[in-house]
Amino acid sequence: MPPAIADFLANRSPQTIAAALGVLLVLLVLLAAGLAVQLRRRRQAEAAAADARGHLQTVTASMREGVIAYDMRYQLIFANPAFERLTGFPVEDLRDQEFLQYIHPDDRRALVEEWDRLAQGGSLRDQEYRVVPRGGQVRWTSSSWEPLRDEAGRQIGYLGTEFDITERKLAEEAMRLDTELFQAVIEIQQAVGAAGLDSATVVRVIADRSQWLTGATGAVIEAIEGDELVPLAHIGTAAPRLKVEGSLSGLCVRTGELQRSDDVLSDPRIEHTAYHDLGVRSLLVVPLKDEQRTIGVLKVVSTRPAAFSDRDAKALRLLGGLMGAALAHAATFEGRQSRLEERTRALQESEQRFKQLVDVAQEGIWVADDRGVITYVNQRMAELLGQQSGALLGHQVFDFIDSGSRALGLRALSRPKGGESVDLRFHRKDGSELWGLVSSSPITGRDGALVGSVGMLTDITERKRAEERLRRSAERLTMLHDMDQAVLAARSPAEIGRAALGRLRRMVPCQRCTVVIFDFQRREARLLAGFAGSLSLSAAPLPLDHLSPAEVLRRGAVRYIEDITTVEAQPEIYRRLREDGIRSVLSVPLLVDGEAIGEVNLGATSVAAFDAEHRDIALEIATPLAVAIQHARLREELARKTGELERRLAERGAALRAATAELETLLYSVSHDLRAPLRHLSGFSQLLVEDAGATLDPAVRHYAERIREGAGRMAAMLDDLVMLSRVGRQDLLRRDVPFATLVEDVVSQLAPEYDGRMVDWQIEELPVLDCDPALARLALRHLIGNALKFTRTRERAVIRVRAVEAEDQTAIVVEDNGVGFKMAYAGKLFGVFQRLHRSDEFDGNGAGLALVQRIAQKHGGRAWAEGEVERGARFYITFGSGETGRRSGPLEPEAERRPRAAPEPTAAGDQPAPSPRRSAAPPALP
Amino acid sequence: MIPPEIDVLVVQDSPPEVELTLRPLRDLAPECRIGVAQDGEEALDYLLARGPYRHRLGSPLPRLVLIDLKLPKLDGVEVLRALRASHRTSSAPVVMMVPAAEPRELAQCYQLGANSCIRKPVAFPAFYETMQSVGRYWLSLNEAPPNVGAAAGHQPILSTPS
Repeated sequence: MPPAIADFLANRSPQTIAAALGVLLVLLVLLAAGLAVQLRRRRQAEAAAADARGHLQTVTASMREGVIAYDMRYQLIFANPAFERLTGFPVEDLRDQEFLQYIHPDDRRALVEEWDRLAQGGSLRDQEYRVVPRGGQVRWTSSSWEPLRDEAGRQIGYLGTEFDITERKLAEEAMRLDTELFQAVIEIQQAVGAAGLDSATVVRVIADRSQWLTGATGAVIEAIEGDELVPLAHIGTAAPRLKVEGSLSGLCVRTGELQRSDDVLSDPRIEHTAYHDLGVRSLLVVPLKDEQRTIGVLKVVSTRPAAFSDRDAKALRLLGGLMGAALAHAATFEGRQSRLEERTRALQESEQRFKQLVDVAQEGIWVADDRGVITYVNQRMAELLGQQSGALLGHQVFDFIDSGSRALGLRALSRPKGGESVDLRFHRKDGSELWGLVSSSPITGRDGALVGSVGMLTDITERKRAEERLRRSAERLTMLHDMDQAVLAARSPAEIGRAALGRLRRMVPCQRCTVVIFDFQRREARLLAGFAGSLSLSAAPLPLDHLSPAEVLRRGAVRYIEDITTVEAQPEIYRRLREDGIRSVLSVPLLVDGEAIGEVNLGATSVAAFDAEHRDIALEIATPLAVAIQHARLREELARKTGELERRLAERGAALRAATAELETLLYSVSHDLRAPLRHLSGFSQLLVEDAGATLDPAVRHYAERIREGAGRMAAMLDDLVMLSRVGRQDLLRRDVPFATLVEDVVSQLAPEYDGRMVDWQIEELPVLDCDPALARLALRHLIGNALKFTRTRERAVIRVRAVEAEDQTAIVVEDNGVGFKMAYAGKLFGVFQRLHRSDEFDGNGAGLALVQRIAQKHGGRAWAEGEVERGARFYITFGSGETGRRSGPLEPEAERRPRAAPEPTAAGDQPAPSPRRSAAPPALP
Repeated sequence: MIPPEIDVLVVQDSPPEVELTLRPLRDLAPECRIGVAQDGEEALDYLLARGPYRHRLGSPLPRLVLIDLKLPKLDGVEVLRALRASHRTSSAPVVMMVPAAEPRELAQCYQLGANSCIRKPVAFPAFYETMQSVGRYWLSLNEAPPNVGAAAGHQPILSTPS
């Protein structure tokens, strides 16, 4: 004991010490419990995460979508190969990154704000955000986040699915710009119409639209007057007159080509002084042409360098081309008011150009009148809907929109301001679907009244399909995850089958679905679970060949029959299915280690109802389902066998107990009831000798003596039997028994037996064992008594008592240097009345070791012996592990063990045997 | 029939056992009057003065009742229970003879009010010695209650312990 504690204990009352120890114990227990709980939770979480990782890895390895999972502490658990490709980071790098670091910071904030929903078990769907891949361009993804759960349904993390939508985003952006451009073109067209021949208005509208379309700081329209360019209109920037010579506008006039300068200040073609004061840095100029003659320029400027893109150039060129003619004619008309036809022609030309332009556009374009009736469609529009252009005229665009989308279309396209895009589903002439991104703008007349609308349709079918695929794959992933959980939730095969079908029906439309289990031995198929519509099916087992020949089923291939009415040599089941109106059937095998244990069947009332995706889904669900069913069946089998085993064990146990009880009763009555007759033998033979002693023949006397002796020996044996019987019947009172004290007591009790002998007692450190103290004492007394008995011939007896670890228990060993025995007889030692020595060598009747064995067995332990003739013996006894097979002190390894004390060999006469340490020793049995 | 006045009543069914029990007592005190009841019912009839022993009512009780645990009909424990339940015999000195020291039986005997329990050794010399000790103690050393033997006017059987 450390001195500090010893001091503390010495200076305190027992109550204080007890209280302090109590508090300390409670604290320790609480601490240990807390740590254990924490540790267990963490282990559970880690194990669950590892499980989840394993499942996810298999399922997601070949997916095109990126899949990523975090645990509840926001540590990365897992990312699939597609995710690594998406972000360009190998999973090891991702592990080092912070939570969601791969997402663009702006978008990450928005996502994290919504995270609460996910942490509370909800899901985040259709989140679009930017991903910042390693060293690459920003990419857009559409993602879904779901809680990740373990088999018990506890949330153990977060599961994200990322679908790369960068292409779509770019296409949308391009389309938005194109839409704007076309709308501008149409507006200008109208404006020109509305402005009539007021050239100033035309010019202002063009300038205004040009600036808006190209995102310029300012726009200028300049006309040629001699060697100068004179501004006709300007917006957003001052517009000095310019020399044709030395200006970019002049260059444009001379070449008749678009000119562009990304930085005015360093452009050698330009005298920058003119722009310097204006702060202009970049320029874009297109010629305005009447026929082939350049009559002026349209120019946009920006205060930023390199402000204009190729697209801006395209837009400006379009505007310039369109408006040149209008401008020319407007100008001409002002001079020659009578030339009306000419103006009309020019406008028609201009319209013609517009039509050419829209006809080559990648978007479908239509124009409708004020009642929504289509008056014009471009070629592309007709192509998209799979119709002839003429067939569309006179219809409303809503006639081609799928009924499911119509309400949304009406709402969005009827808005007076227009402009907003919506996704609508169209049906093509051939019945196939077309997803379109649609926008529409109103056309207003000069008086502001609505005269019609112009609409645009962009084909987004591919994008929609991709999104649908993403949705479905996310759903499939969820489903598989659910399946895994259902599997691990360890229910009956039928329950697992029902759960799987329930999920499968959500993914694959069908009128009938079943899970069937094959029994090839009985050539039977058993219905595990089934639904017809929402009705749960049940049926008696069918002969296997009613489904298909057994060899076919055994092969475990997918079978898909588009129409069962056309199949020759029909299995019996098809007849029944036909009665229920089923036409197409998909059968997917349940494979366990390559062997078909059953199949999943899907039936639909339409012909060829299932496609490749349905097949994939069915296959995906069949794999975990097969494993689950197999596990559940094995579990059931195991439970059944265990039950059977337990029942048999209980029966055997009862029989054994009955037999033992019978034996005990027999032993009891034998040992008790034989006593009286024996006493009579003993008594009357003695009385015979006493009463007739003098007159008796010496031979008769001798016989009487033999009778008396025999009765005496038998009496001793009966006493031993009584003891044995009592040990068997007695209840075991286990408690902590300190063997050090026990052995010391026994040795001192035996003192009379080694009076005058030289005995070297080597009693080592002994443990505290959980056993019955009275029985343990009895056993030790016999063992040590034996050791004393069989060392009687030794001049100096050595008796050693120690503890060793044997058979996962602590054995007490009593060892002597006595006469020993032949190991061949070791088994006989413990039998009742078995002796290995002649009775004239050593006394005793051979019941002692049987009693020791009985005591050991009573405790659930064992007694055994090792020995060698003339080299001593070792006797071992264990007392069972019980519920509390513990020991208080550490046992040293065998090699290091030293005798606790090395007492001098004592002649018992000189020195008393070790005295009992405690006065209140338990009473010894008689 | 058991004589109406005796010093010792031995309740024992086995004749050889009776013989071996009486021998040491007779050797110890030849004048001692010993009665033998061959089963529990006879013992109770005698001690409680009923049935064939009705006329014994008012006679003193034996100074020692030795009851063997194993008896036909009523066993020793039942006899003891009945004796202790009656006012007349509740304080009669009763010594139970048990075949082996079974803890449960010993406990039961003492609980029911046995004055002493003696284990019968199997070997005769020990048995002889035991029976003589019992006789010596109960017939000379022990002071009996008022309605029993000596107190009712009889001389002690052993004037001096041997």
